[in-house]
Amino acid sequence: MKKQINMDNQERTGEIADKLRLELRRGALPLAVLAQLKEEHYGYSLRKQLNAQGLDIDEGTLYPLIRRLEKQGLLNSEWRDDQKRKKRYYRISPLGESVLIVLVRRWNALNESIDGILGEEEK
Amino acid sequence: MNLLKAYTHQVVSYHPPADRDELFAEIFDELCEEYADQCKNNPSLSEAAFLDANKQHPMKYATQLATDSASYLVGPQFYFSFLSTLKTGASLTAGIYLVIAVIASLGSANQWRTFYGVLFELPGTLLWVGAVILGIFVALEKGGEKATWLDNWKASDLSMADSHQSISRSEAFFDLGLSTIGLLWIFDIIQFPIVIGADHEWYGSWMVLIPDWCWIALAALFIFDIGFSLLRMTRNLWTTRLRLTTIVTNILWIAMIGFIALQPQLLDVTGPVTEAITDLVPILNKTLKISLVVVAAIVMWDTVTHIRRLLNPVFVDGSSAK
Repeated sequence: MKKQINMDNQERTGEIADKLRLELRRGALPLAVLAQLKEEHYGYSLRKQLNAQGLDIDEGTLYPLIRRLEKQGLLNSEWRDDQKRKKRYYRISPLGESVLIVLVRRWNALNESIDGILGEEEK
Repeated sequence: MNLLKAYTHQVVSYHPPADRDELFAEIFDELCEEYADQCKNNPSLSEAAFLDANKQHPMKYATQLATDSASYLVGPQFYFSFLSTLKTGASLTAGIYLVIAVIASLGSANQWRTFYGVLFELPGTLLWVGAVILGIFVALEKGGEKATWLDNWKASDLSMADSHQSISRSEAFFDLGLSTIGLLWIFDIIQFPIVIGADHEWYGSWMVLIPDWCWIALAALFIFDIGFSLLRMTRNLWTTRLRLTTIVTNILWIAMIGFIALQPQLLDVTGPVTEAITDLVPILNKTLKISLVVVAAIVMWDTVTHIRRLLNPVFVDGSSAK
């Protein structure tokens, strides 16, 4: 009976942790995408680059995010023909760069605060 | 790349027409690159196996790509299923009403009144159908139902016909205009100035001599054509179903035009007439019949083109199925 309750708790913990991890990640993704787009990329190359750096992102998450950032004026895009296919290249805009600087500052400050809280928690 | 292309077309078909071209280019490029990458490790990987292993049902994928989730009446998970059901429900209801209107009016003493009467009930019924479908989807969503019917999907389910040629918007718009004018003319809402002069005299009282059931059938065909043109304007590409529907409708039109052209007399003048106008009537009838034959030939040509495209599909990149 006790074993069953422990298993239920484990399952529930895993489920909730997964949901919260997604929330954490969702907030950090615009920062990662903006930072990565200091260099020009098209959709797939951006996704590969992010994956290579340990940030696994599927196209269902990436493309809506890119659209949103572009709509906000943080990205510029340009269509080009490449290997008989049309590719859309993205790059951070001047406004995006300013926003990125602010975001990085806030990210670092948040990181410090969280580290501090987690440090106290661990003590 | 035809299966990847068919998959991408299926995905973008759930998005608004204005977004489709750009979305298609981007997603197709993404799929081609990903497929090429995977082929480096597994050169024998087929497009179907790649899609089965890596991609979800096109509707699910389309849902993920949708950005404006705030505009959903039904949540994103069910949004495209809901829209698809709504369109099918509305088309089926309209089709059933049209058939009922034709059948009921044929057996009625006052054919036009019966025809109008049945059709006037259609908007109300469509609202009910929409409300019921919306209710079902809201209940599914609130009940925590997952769209599991989209999980049992295989790339082989993709109809290759979906990669056929794109639908001409201007052609669909032309058909819509023509059918609307035809329908309004039948219902006497608009009238053409058929004033014909002979020997310096003008005659405006002309009568079209075709059986009553022909008017009903013509009205039904025009109504169907209006709906079908609107449907084509919302679609990107020809599919097997759209082509088959066009072929069947064209055949009905050819039969109808043929029947009308075979009538002994199509036009007659009412009221007192002079000898000149009496001489003119046979010439007018002959001209009208020749015009109808020309129209039937054009429709026939269109039908043959659709049949050829159906048997030998040409893909959007210009390649052929053969």
